[in-house]
Amino acid sequence: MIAKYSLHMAGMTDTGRARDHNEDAIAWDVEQGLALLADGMGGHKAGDVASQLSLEQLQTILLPALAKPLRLRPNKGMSKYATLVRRAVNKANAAVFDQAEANPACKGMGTTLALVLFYDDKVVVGHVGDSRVYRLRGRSLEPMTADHSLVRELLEQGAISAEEAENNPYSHVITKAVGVRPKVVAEVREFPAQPGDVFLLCSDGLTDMVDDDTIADCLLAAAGNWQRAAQRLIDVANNNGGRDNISVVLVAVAGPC
Amino acid sequence: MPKLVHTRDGQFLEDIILQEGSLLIGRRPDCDIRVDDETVSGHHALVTVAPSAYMEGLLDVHVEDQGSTNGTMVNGKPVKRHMLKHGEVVKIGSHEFAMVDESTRGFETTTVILPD
Repeated sequence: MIAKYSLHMAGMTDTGRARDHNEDAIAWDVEQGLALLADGMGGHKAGDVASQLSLEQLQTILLPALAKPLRLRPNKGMSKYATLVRRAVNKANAAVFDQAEANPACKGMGTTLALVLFYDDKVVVGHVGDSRVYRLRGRSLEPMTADHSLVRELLEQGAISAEEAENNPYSHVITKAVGVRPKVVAEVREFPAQPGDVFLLCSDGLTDMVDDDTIADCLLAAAGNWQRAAQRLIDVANNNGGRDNISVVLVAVAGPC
Repeated sequence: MPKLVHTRDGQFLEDIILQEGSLLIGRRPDCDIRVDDETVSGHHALVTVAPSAYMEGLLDVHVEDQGSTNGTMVNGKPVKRHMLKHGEVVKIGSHEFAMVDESTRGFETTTVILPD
């Protein structure tokens, strides 16, 4: 355990109501303070391969590295943990890309990624694509990631209004993914974590179906039962239509270890 | 080319092929699509078709209510101005216009475009 605070983690993934199989993948390791989520894409079940392979790779690289003292040095203003995460994502990217090249059934597959890694009193937040990380602090739910998506980029450039960005036909067009090019640069940022914080990793199957206020209400109503909160979020997404696979991972920050 | 499939009470009336420009829907004779229904305003809604702000070679289709008395609905919700996507249905009085756009249909699921 390298995080200063003790962590509680829970997660759940669901096919939803419209798709015939689940291309999302989730994983976590309380001991090393790591939680991961991937939303795969690509026809004929290749999406499952991309999401699962990327999470397997990340765990294979990160868990042993975190179990011993890190030899990495801080790099370009990033902590050694952020550097480790970025390198690991790049290795996972290469593994998915190689598999997509080698196996015709996997051609064109890729995956989004969201992850959190806790160390000391900080959290490293990494993402690629439109899977998100949110933080609930007090009663306020805040996004910790900005989607790598066409609509988001046009919104940031001021080319479209917030109103136009809502329910936009191009909302599922992303500009970055794991496994579609030989290299990828994950967006990695660090934030202070404090007891009481709850971090939510989710796929777009949640956020397309459930607005932020409702997500916050589900987390606040959980009263510390995070498995129930995860189930509740999935139920709400399904009740609202469940048009895509739905995945959530919750990490609650408790008192010092 | 995107099109609007015009129906009334489930009865097919016409396919409206959408090309760059605009189409006025309403009861008055100067409308491009005349709708004979007392609950429809003289100038009810305007459909505009323009080169896509999102992707080269595609068209963006917007529907804009023209201050109609009974409103313009998209998938059951009243809209002022709305960008139509494949599968959405515009309701004006008893008339329905279903958006069919094969070129953006694939974007219902996650798609990656990469900057060069």
